[in-house]
Amino acid sequence: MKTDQALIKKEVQVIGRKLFLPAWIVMGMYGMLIIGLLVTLILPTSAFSDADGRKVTLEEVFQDIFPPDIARHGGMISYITNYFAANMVAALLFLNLLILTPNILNVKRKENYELFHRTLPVSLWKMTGAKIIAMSISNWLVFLAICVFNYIVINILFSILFRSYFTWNFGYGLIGLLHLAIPILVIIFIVNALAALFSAIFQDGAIGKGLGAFLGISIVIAIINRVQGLKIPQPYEYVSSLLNISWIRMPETVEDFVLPGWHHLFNWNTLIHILVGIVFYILATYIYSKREIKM
Amino acid sequence: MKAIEISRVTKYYGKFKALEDVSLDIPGGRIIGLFGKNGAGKSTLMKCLLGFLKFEGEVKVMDKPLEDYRHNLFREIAFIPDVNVIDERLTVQQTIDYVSSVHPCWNNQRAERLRAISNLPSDKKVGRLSKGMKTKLYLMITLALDVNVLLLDEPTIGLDIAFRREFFNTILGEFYDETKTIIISTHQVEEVEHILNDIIFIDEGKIILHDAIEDLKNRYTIITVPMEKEEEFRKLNPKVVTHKLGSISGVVKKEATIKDAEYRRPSLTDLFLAEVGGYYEN
Repeated sequence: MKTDQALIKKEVQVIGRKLFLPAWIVMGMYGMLIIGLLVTLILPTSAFSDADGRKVTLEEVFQDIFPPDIARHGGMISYITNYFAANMVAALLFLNLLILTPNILNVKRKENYELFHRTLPVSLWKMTGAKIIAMSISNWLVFLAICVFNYIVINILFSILFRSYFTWNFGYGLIGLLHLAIPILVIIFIVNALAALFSAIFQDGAIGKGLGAFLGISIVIAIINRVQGLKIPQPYEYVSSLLNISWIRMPETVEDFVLPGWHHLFNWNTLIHILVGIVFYILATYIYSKREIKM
Repeated sequence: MKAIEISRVTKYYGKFKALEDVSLDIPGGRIIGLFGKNGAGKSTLMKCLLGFLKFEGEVKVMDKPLEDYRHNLFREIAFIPDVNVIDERLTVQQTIDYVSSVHPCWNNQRAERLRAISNLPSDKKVGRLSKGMKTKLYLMITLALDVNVLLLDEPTIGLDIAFRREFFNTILGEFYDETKTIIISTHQVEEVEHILNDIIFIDEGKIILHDAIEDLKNRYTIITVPMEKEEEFRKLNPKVVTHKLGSISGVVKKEATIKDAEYRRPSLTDLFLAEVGGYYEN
């Protein structure tokens, strides 16, 4: 247990400040938003105006946008707003993962760090597992922290801004956030385990070569399917199934989001995704253990 | 008990044969110098002992085949390579905390003593340390481990002369006792000569000599004769021949004698050149 903790702690220390890149970007966006708001308040020319150039108030703008029965959709708007706000943070998170995950196993191989870690009496299974877990959990926690911050700001701001039109529902907002945040953890885990597998197979430029191999396999399968008339499943079909939002139907009420959303999270598909990640991890560690260590 | 047994180890890099049929028995409690020219196979041999490379043949460490150990081999062996391998993204303190947490052989008291000698800044990132400081940190960490075998591959690269001397004369003593085995590979032969029990000479991937240093020195002598006795001198098949004002010297077998010649004990460098360098004259 002491070893496991030390391994995970070391991995987090190694990733260090790079973890917080999405947080800095979000802070930058908030900064720009605040500056924009201040400019709007200070400069009279920047006030809202309609197509004829007539100045209009924010309330008038809302009246134009919102349908007359908006009051009964407060819960749904709260849910959707938080779900998509979390989506935007997720996009930043994946950009950051692209920076952090390449060569997850051979980090700085050219600097020989690998040799330092491999001369310790620690099982490779633990080492690789700690890398994947530390990378997944720490990235997810940063993602969750940004989402919670967004949640507080957006929900307080919007509940004040739209109070004349509908009641903002913090509870449905939180469910919307969780419906996106929980599957993101599974996706991060699979991405990291896959990155570890690429890294075990290809010593340098693992992600580029891995994606190249992925593309190559897809093309070969497509050709075989076409020539032989077969229906071999494509790897990208699995990737798209990770981002599956087919459970989202045109809703009548917010409840149409809530229950299907929970069912979508806790079903066999999620378990299969986790198992796929575990298979990637096992393959990565096995291949890595068979490799020679060169300086 | 043998610390290391190497049986018929051969290693290829592609078509290049880096080690050829190497067999060695290394007993416990010895300090052994592993010497050879650049590319002779010293580092490859060490990496084979550590299980880093695939090879033909068999290696046993503390009577157990290498393949039975896997990562647990590093409860028996510690290694200092000839390049910096410490993760530069960690601070000195984080590195020490990490190794002490994951290594069951960490000796905290010794670590504290070594730390006091090495005078390393705790909060500095390893990447910001000088080359010498990085080497000191790795030496400190490695020598704080209670392992049976220590492999040192050019361990003092980047260190100043004073610390190099302190390392071989004092610091290494913190680690060593009669149960430990230390194998040192270095080109600075004269720096380690006084602490060695045995030497191994390796050339072109083959072990050409493995002997106790005293026995070896007793088999050879350096003979110096006036130039007029050069013909007689040459008949002794001398090695490492050097010319000085009016005289000529060389390494010869101990039993060889010339009347009125001067004799002195050869250094390890002389013996190395005699064994590995072949006929050498300047």
